[in-house]
Order: sequence, then C-alpha cells, then structure tokens
Amino acid sequence: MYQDKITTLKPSAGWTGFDFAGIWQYRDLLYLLVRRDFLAQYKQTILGPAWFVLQPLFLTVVFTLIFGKFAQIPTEGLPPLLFYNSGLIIWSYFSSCFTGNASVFTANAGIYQKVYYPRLINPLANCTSALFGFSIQAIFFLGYFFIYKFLIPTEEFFTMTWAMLLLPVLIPLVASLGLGMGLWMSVLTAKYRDFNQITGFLAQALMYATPIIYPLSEIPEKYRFWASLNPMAPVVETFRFAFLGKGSFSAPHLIYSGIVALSILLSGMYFFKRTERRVVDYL
Amino acid sequence: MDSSLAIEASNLSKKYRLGTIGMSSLREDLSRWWGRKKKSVSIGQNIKTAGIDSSRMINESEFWALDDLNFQIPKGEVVGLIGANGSGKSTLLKILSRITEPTQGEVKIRGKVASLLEVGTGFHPELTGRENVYINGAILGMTRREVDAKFEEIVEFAGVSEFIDTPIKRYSSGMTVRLGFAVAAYLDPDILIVDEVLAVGDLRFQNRCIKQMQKIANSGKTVLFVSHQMTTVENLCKSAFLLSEGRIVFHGTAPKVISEYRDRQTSPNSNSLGERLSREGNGNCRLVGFELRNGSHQKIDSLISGQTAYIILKFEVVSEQKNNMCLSLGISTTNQNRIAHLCMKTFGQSIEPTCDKTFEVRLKLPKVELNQGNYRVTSFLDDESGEIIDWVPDAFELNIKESDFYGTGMVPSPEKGYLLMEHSFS
Repeated sequence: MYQDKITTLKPSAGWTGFDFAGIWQYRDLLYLLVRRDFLAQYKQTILGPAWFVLQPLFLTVVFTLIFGKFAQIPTEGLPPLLFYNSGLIIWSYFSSCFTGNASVFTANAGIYQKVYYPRLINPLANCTSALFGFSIQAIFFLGYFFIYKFLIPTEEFFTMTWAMLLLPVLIPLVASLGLGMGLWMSVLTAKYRDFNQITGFLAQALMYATPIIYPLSEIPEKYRFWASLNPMAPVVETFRFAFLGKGSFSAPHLIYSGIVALSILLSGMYFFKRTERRVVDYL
Repeated sequence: MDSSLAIEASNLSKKYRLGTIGMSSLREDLSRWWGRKKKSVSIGQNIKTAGIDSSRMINESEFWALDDLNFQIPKGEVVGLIGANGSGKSTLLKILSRITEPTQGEVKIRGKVASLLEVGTGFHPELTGRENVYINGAILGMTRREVDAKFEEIVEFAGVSEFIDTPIKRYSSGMTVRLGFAVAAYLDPDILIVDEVLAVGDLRFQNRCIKQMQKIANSGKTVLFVSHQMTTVENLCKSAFLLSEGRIVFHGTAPKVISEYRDRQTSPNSNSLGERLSREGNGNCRLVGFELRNGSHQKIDSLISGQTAYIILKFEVVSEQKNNMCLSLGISTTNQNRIAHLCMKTFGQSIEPTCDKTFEVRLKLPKVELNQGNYRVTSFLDDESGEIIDWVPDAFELNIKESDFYGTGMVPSPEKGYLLMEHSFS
C-alpha cells in the first residue's frame, strides 16, 4: 500500500526537462479549471454564454461603421461584416492566449503559495478555455457566412477554399504563438510589474500591425516585407482565404510563422519552468 | 534512504531576501546591469533587521530562513513541528510541499504527499459547493474519480448537504472552511502535511477535525503537523521538533518538546527588564530589576515552598512623579492562568514619590504557598488617580523548589495543584 516512490527535493541546477508526466497526472485539474472559467465567467449575467458571440459581434459592427463606412478602408470586395469578423475571431483567440496568460503568476499567487501542481496547467487551461470561445465564435461566423451567401442578395463573391484543410494547423499555430508570448510575459511580469502595462499595449499594437481592419494587399509594396514579419499576418490572411476565398496564402510565410511560434513557445516554456521553481519567494 | 523513513532532510537550508523579498523594479535592475548602481539605492538598506537574530543574517539584505536542518521522520509517525513565529516552520512546510525549492541541501520524501497549508485553496465564490469540491480536490492532487468516490462523505463531514448546489459566496465563513477541510480530510496521501488549519471553525468542528486527523494518523500515514495550540500537538503527535531561528533546537517526545518550547518562549531575563519593550504606562517610573532573598536576607535564585522569602523590585525614576503610587503583582502559571494577585491597596499602603533616582519595593512572603515549578510575575505600578505608570506583563519568572511543606514528607505533585494551602481534615 505504501508507495515506494522517492521524491528528492533539492535546488535544481541547470535544465531539468519539461514535466509532461506531471501535467498528465493533473489532467483532471486542467479540465476542471476550463469548466470553472466557463461557468464563473457568466454567472450572474443575464445573457450568459451569449456574450461569447455578442462581444465580437459588437466589435465587428463598430469596425464596420468606423473603418468600413467612415474611413472606407477596402475589404477586398467582401461584405465588411464577414471581413472584420473573420479577422477578429482568430485574433481574439490569439489575444486571449497571450494576454490571458501574461499575468498567470501574479493572478494565481495565492494558490501557488499554498499548493504545488505543475504551474503550466494554468496557461494550458487558459488556452483551452479560449479555444472553447473561439469554437463558438467560429460556428456563428459560419452562420453569418450562410446568411450572406444565401439570404442577402449581393454581387460580392466569396467562397470557402481548400485552405480550410489547413485549419488543424492554423489553430495550433495561433495557440502556440499566443501561449508562447503569454508565458514570456508571465515570466517578466512575475519579476517586473512594469510588464503588466506593456502587455495591453503590445496586444493592441500587434492588432493594428495585423491585417484585421485592412487586407494585407492594401499595404504599400515597400512596407509589405516588414508587415509580413509579424507572424500573425500570414495566419489571419490564410484564415480569411480559407473561409472567404480572399486574402492571400503563402506557404513560406506560413512556415515562417510556424517556426517563430514554435521557438517562442519552447523558449517561453523554458523560462516559465525556470521561473516556477522560485517564483513564490518573490511574488 | 532507509526504507523505514518517510522523510529525510540533510543540510537543508533556505535563504530569503528581506524587505521587498526579491521584487525589484525594472529600473533598478537595469541600472545595476549597467553597473551604475549606487550603493544608496540598495534594497535591503532601509529595511529594519530588528527581530531577526544576527547569526541568521548573511549580509544586510539576506538571511537564512532555514539553516542546515538535518532530520528524519519514520514512516507512520505523527510528528509535531513547533516554534515561535518566524522560526522557519512555514518555510520548511513550503519546501516539503514543493512550493519553493531549498537553497542548499535536500529532502527525500517517500510516497505521495498532500499538503494542507490552507483550507479551500482555489475556491471560487461564484461556483457551487459541488463544483468547488471537485476543483479543490483536483488542486490537492485528487482525480475526478477519487472525488466522485468520496463526494458523499465529504459533503456529510462538512455538514453542508442542503447547500451543496448553492454558490459558496452565499456560505457563511464557517461553512466554507468546513467544506475546505472536508475535502482535505479525505485526501489519501502517504504523507500529510498540515499547517495550523485546525484553528478554524467552531469548537465542535475543531474536535471533529482532530478526530479525523487521529483517524488518518492511526491508519499508518505519516503526518507532519504544525500548530500553535500545544494541546492539539500533545493529543495528536507522538514526537515533535522544536524550531528556533531557522534551526532544529530540540527533538523528542511531544510533551518534552512542548515544555522545552514553553520554557524558551518566555524565559524572562532580569537584566533586560529596563529595556523590555512589551510594557505599558506613562513611564514616569520603570521596573528595572528584581532580587530574591531568603528569610535571612541572603540572595537566592529560587524560592523554596513553605519558607520565608522576599521579592525586591527595583524601580528607576525617569521623570518627576507627584502622586502616591501603588504596586500590585500578579502571579500566573506558565500557561497564563492567574493564581494570585498581591496588591498594596489591599492593606491601604502606597509608595510616596521620592527625589532619588531609584527606589525599591520589598514584598515579604512569610510562607511561600506555591507548589514546585515555574511561575510568572506581572508587575503593575499605577498612580492614585488610576493612571498606569509601568505595567510589565510577565516581568520575570519565579522558580519554586520543592520542600516538605506540610512536614509530613508528602507533597502533592504540581500537576495536581499549584497552591499549597494550610489545611487539616477531621
């Protein structure tokens, strides 16, 4: 009955590897945290989970009015609502992975000081919750798509393309990039609270640098190289291309995004792991 | 590691930084990085190091919270961990619970550890009792299936069955705590680490917690238990460790360690009476020392029960005192039960103000009527008008030595009673 597994607790020197076994052991916690996020978020709200859909929809309407109607930024001949909504939902998935994890250590300080479990559980739970929200939004996007396609007469042409097959790659890519950047930020905010301010600003700046309210094709030729350095740019463009047949698809750019995402994720996990050992002492 | 051991620590040490505890602003670190850091912005410098023994300090801003601990805890033993605040108990628990790493040395732990440093960790106010039981259980390392199996028992133990589907923000604080403890009580680890959590809830629930802990202890689990409630430690634990200033200073059976702890905790030092800070009053006069003398006016260290003794209290006059003063002494046991109050007012006496720098008050005890053991004396000096001049709680300790009080060769043991009273039966 007595388990004979011996754990040695000592100052860790150097790299000790990722604790994937530990995360697997706590998989139920991951599930319950995701459930908790979902349940707690909409307790005592009248509309409840409808906010998942309403929030991006409101933003889409605002964008349609300001950038579409007033600023008249072209939408590649797509209905503005579909154009903005497609960009927004994939962006908001990235953004919740990123900003949601930027304060993991400070937000969970109370728990981290009392209980041990693999700390990576929290960021993973955040990304999973965000994926849940994204899925609902994607389903509603499909709804808008079909309404526009079949119910509203329009001369604009749009259609889904073969690039839909890339979704299983695209979504993990967004998640890795968001999680990786979030982990980096969480490590930095744990040490320097200054980065709390930077996170919000960075997310916003990145959003404007990403073709969400404008198509990549609107960027003047000489700046386009710089714009495509943003790893989110090819992702949003491919996403739009997959659903609406407009935008651009460029395999090298997407591979570039993948490499960037993976390196940020791995380095983020590395620093996260290094931080979690001692972070309680200075939280 | 020997197979009979559950926990083995060798040279375990933990270093902490004072003050902002390692938090530094980006600006500060950047300037340090550039090598322009001036000494005057050093973090530790403005931090008071009062209260931390100088031998624990490494430099001005770092100290050893744990200093070279070596200990072994055998399998299946219930061990108490006691010590004053700041002695390193929590730090040790944090290391054993994997919350933080040691700075040096290592601990080996055999089997699955559950640590209960707080009840209801991760409770979310918006969620129902049921949802929180599952999350809390998972945080403590249970799987959903394990919680499923014990759910009914947990709810029953907490006594919240009617409210289990109500958000816990509607719970009373007692209910929340009970639910939190109930989850922890049904954890099934090999080693259970518990910190002070029994001090919550009402008395009836506390007793149930202690019973549950005893049940866990009797089932062959290793339990490490921290508490300031000595009776609980005494009831639960077989052996105990005494921590002081980050070191283990005493190890033995629970009652022995507890009495050692009590002795150390408030062994007052007559030399420092004048400097004692834990006192109240206007400070016009201050108790600065005391002396014990026997019936023939010779200095002694301990009083002997049944014999004549004098207690001489020395006061220093700090600023002019106009009114007459009145002294009273309270005598208490070491666990703070007041057993006698000796007051000048009882006899209509008082102390007249003096022009001298010091004065003495002599108290005569014609026959010391205390049983052997240690007692504490509180000194209380006030003004005719009732204003407190100098009140020193537990100013010093009296050690009473055994003697043939009744002249029969028999004296009841001190556990049976503190007072020795003249009496006769007929």
